This record gives sequence, structure tokens and C-alpha cells, in this order.
Amino acid sequence: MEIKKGIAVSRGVAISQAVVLDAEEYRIPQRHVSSARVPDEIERLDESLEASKRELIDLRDRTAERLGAETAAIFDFHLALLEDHALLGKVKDVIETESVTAEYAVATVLREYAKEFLQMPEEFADRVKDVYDIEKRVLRNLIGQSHEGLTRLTENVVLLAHDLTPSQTANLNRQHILGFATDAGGQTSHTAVVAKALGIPAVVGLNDVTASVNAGDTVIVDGNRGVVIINPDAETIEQHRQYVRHLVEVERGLDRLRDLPSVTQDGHEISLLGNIEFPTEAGTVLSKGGAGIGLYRTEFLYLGSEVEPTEEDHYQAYRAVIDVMGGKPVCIRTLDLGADKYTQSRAAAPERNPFLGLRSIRFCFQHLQLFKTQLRAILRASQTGDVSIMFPLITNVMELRQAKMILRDVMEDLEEEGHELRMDVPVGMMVEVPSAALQCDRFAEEVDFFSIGTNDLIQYTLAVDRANERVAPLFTAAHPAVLRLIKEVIRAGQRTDVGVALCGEMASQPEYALLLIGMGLRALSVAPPAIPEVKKLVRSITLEKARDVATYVMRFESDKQIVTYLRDQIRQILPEAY
Amino acid sequence: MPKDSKERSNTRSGTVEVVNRHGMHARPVTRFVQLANQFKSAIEVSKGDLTVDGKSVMSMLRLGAECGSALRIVARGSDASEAVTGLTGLVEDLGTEKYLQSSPEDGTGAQGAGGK
Repeated sequence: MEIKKGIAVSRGVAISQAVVLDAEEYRIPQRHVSSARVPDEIERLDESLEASKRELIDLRDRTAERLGAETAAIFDFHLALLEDHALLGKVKDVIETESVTAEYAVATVLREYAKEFLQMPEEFADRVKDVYDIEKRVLRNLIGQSHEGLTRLTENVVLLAHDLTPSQTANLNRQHILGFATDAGGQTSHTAVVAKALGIPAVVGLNDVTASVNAGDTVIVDGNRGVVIINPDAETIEQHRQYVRHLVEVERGLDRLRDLPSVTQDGHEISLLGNIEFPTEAGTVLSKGGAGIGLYRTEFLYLGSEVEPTEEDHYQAYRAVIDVMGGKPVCIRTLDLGADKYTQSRAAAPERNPFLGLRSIRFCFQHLQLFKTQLRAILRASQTGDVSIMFPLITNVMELRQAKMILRDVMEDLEEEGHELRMDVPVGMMVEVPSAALQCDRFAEEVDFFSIGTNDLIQYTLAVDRANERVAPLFTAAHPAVLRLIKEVIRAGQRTDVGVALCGEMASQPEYALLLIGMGLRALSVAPPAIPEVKKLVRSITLEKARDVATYVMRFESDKQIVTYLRDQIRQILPEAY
Repeated sequence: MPKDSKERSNTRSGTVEVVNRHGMHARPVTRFVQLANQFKSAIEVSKGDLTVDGKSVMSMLRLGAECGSALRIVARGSDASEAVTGLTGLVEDLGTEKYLQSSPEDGTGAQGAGGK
């Protein structure tokens, strides 16, 4: 039994067999298989060798055509390596005698050869590049096979990986995946977002969990406590089974809150909304008792497909959500793409610092047609429900004015074309960079509402890449500087009567929800599955109590003190939550 | 056993100097091993004290046979004599432009016809 501590990003507990995905760009850890599975590993090896050979033959023939047989001959060498009986004999021998995965055996044997070559005269040492090259090729095929396998799961599993990318999670057989655990990642990593949307437990930032788990091991993923337990003993399994039953009870209790108002004990209403990524999540917002959608992310329209979405694609995606919400508010955020494959593949040169680069609203300004297409669809859809629009990543007043001007242009175009339009669609902005938070009194004169995006606000205030597990512990909503910025925005909103909502991850954690309500927020938007718990908190407190907590917190000088204090308060208010 | 003694009786060997400028690196070794694998005989190649499997590219590369080094080729099996002739011939031919310009398929460079 081995216990690993990570970051809890999605609640719940899963107990199941592990499936482990290796990552070709990282060192392949020694991973054992049961002796019964050794023949399967040999078969996987043979399949991946065949696939690699087919690639090489194809590559050789195409190279020969373009550059001549002389140049293509290097691939004959690679092919000869893949057919080398001494090499393959060794790999199979390692699989059989050590009972390890094909991945590990390939990596180990080829590394041994590589080491030997490196000690030889220069001309031969150079061959090490070819060894690395075929190692990569075979591993890619082996790992690709396991990814493929995930689409055809027939048994329940928990998935362990170095990290999960959007393309990997897009094709998962969700029905049989009970939980995630990853080496990399933080609160807001892609794994976290997907797990929350699926409502399955996830623990990330475990550093080396994939090195400690073998396929088929029993693993407990405890997404409440941020712990992964490998090969638990019978007693631990029983404890966790009980815990799962308890959580199911708690969940049922929470679901009973669905139709009860989100009001504090002293009668103040707190609006609880849902953040959604896909149209299908709108239904979850309703079933969890949300009052509307506080953040409708629209990036999925671009990331899910190779072709740019049409105005009609946009319109349908918005209508789908508006119709489900039946008159409840829906806040649509314009395209917030950035620092990802989509913008990077369209960049003239790779950006050295994509998070400070051409992303989000900046990207839209430089791709006006794409931006206008989205705005047209939102405006047309806004006719049919309580829709508001917000612009992301605004850093200065001129950007806001430019965005609003483009919106007006689009409105005029639509009117000229004879569309009936609502002229009073509320227009707001995300406050997610320190410059916007510090200048929010100026912004307040020009917007209908603010939505504080804490994920980016924390990242830009504390200079921490939230997805980099080596610095992820520095990413905290409890930093006094972050709290001061949030307070600025709330005050500016109160002075000018501009609505302020908060749509970051922090609002879904009861201890922060308590603090934010005390600081003056009346609208929180969270991942849909988290709505009931926040509602429970709201119904368990008085505004007076929350204000006291918020006042008290401002005296602390460090995030650690603040977190400790808040957790302590929450334990008193919601003892069963911890 | 008869098979064993027969193989022993069919041991042939030859010595050849590596004449191509870059020695027995990737492409020459690939050609050598491709040809070696066409023979039934077991093939060992030695350079100095180091003896390796002549049918394995990885093993052949480990020889690190540079230009000017002497290789001893030992073949054991029914076609040992053809193997030694073919392989020593190939190593000799490696030094000629003719070999390098030939494509793997046409076999004009190596005495590939010797083995089957």
C-alpha cells in the first residue's frame, strides 16, 4: 500500500483497477505486469514493431522519390534495426524475465545500446540519434495503442497519466472511467476541467504517480482529500467503501436543496450560477439547482473541429443553451482562445510567452471576421432569452471601447439586414488581470457588469503558471494581494451599481465562497456539480458571520494563515464537509 | 549429433579490410546484415578480440570498424563458403563508388547473387 498526496480537483472517491498511460516524451518508468499478461505485452510489441515498419517503408519510399535512394537508405538502416533479432531478442527477454511492459523493455534495451554508442568514436557515436529515433517511433506506436484501447474499455477503470490533453480526453470512453490521477497539473488544468464536467473524482499534481502504479493495480482516487492510494489493504478499501456510501448520502442530502432558495439565514439572496464548457452541461446546471449560467465558455466551438465554425454553428450552440435554460440568465463569454494549439498553430512564429501573448480578446481584434461572426450569432440568439455578453482579458479602457465599438458595428449590420434585435443586451467584461482590477472604477462607467475570473487573475497577479506542477503550490486564491484586487472590484461595483459576479474555481470551495460572500459578492458562478454544496453553505450562514470572517481575514499577511483560518471556520459551519 | 558435426565441418572463414572512408557505419552495416541474413549459416564477425553476430545491425555497429580495420568473417553452416565469399566481397566493394551508387534492389554492387 502506498499513499500519494496531490491536489484534489474534482470531488468523489473511485476505487478500481488502474490503467496507466505512459508519455513518450518522458522517461518510461519500470512498470510490472502479471505473468499471465506477458504474452499480451509481447503481442503489443510485435504489433507496434509492424506499425513502425510500415511507417518506415512509407517514409523510405517517399524520401527516395523526392530526394533519391541515397538519402532514403537511412530508413533501411532503421528498418534493419527493427528487424534485428539480437535487439528484439533482448527486448522480449526483458519483458519475459522481468515481467514488465513492452514500453519499459523497449526503452531500457535501446538506452543500453545508446549508452554503448556514445562511448564509441564520433562516427559511430552519431548513430545514437538513430537509436533514439526508433525508440521514439516504437514507443509512440505502443502508447498510441493504449490510447486506442481507452476508447474500447469494457471494464471500469481509473486512468493514470502524466497529463491528459484535450485530444486524449475527447475520445475517452467516459462510461467506464471512474477517476483520473495525473503527475502534472493544478486546480485549473485540463484534467481538472474535464473531471469536473464529467463529475468524476480527480487528483492531479502527484509528480510521479505513474511511476508507482502498474496496470491492473487496485487504486483509490480520493478527489475530496487529494490522495491516491495504490494497492490498498482490505481494511483501507473497506474504509473507503464506507466513505463512498457516506458521500452518496451527502450528495442525496445536497440534491434535496435543489429547489430551495439560495438565501442566507438572515435573508440575503446569493445568486448561484454555473460555468459551462459544452451546451450539454446546461441541463446539469438546472438539475443541480443553478439560477442561470454565469459563464458560457465558447472555445469548444473552435477546439473540437478542424474547420472554423460558421455563424450558424455558433447560433445553434447558443440557442441550445438558451432554450434549455428557459428564461434564466445566460452570460456568454466571447472567444478566449490562447496559449494553446489553436492560436499557436496560426501564429507567424511560436510565441515565447503565450500567456502574455496574442490570446483572447487580443486574438479576436486581429481576426476581426472571426470575432464578428461570433458576435453576430450571440446578438441574434440574445433575442430568445436573458443573454448577456462579456469580453475576456480586457487590460485597458481602449480595448473595452474597441470591443464595444465592434459590437455596435455588428448590431448595425444586423439591423440593416432586417434582423429584430434587443438593443439592451447587457455588456460586461472579465476582470482577470491586475490592471483591470486596479482600474475598475473607470471601467465601471462603461460596462453593465463585471465578472471576476480568478483563475487568470491569480496567475497574472502571482506570476505563476497554474499548469506547471513545479510551481503550482504558489498558485493560491488566498494570497492577500489577490484578495485585495477582488475587494477593489467589489467596491467599485457597489459605488457605481454595476453588478459583480465571480466565476473562478475558488468560488466552488466552501471556505472561499464564505469569504467572497463576506467581502460583498452576491453572485457566484461555479462548475455545475459544485452548486449544491455552495448552496448548502449559503443556507448555513448569516451575512453578518461572513462579513466578520472577511474582515478578520484582511489582517493576515500570508495565504497559509488565511487558508488555515478559513478551513477552521468552515469546519464549524459544515462539519460533515471535512 | 550429426547436425552439429556437419555444421562444424562446414565452417569457413575469411579476412577482409574495411576500405570505405567512413568505416562500417549505418548504411554499410545495413547492407552487410541484409546480405548475411540471406544465408542459412550462422555468421560471426570479429575485429581484434571482439566477436559479434554478423546478422545483427546493432551487434555489427558495436564493432566500430573504421576504415583500415581488418574483419574476420566466420560462417558455420551448409552455405558457409558462399557466405564468406559474398560478405568479404561486399566489404571490399564498399570502397568503390560503384557500390554506393547502386540501389539496394539492383544488387549490382554487392555480390548478393552469391547468397539466396
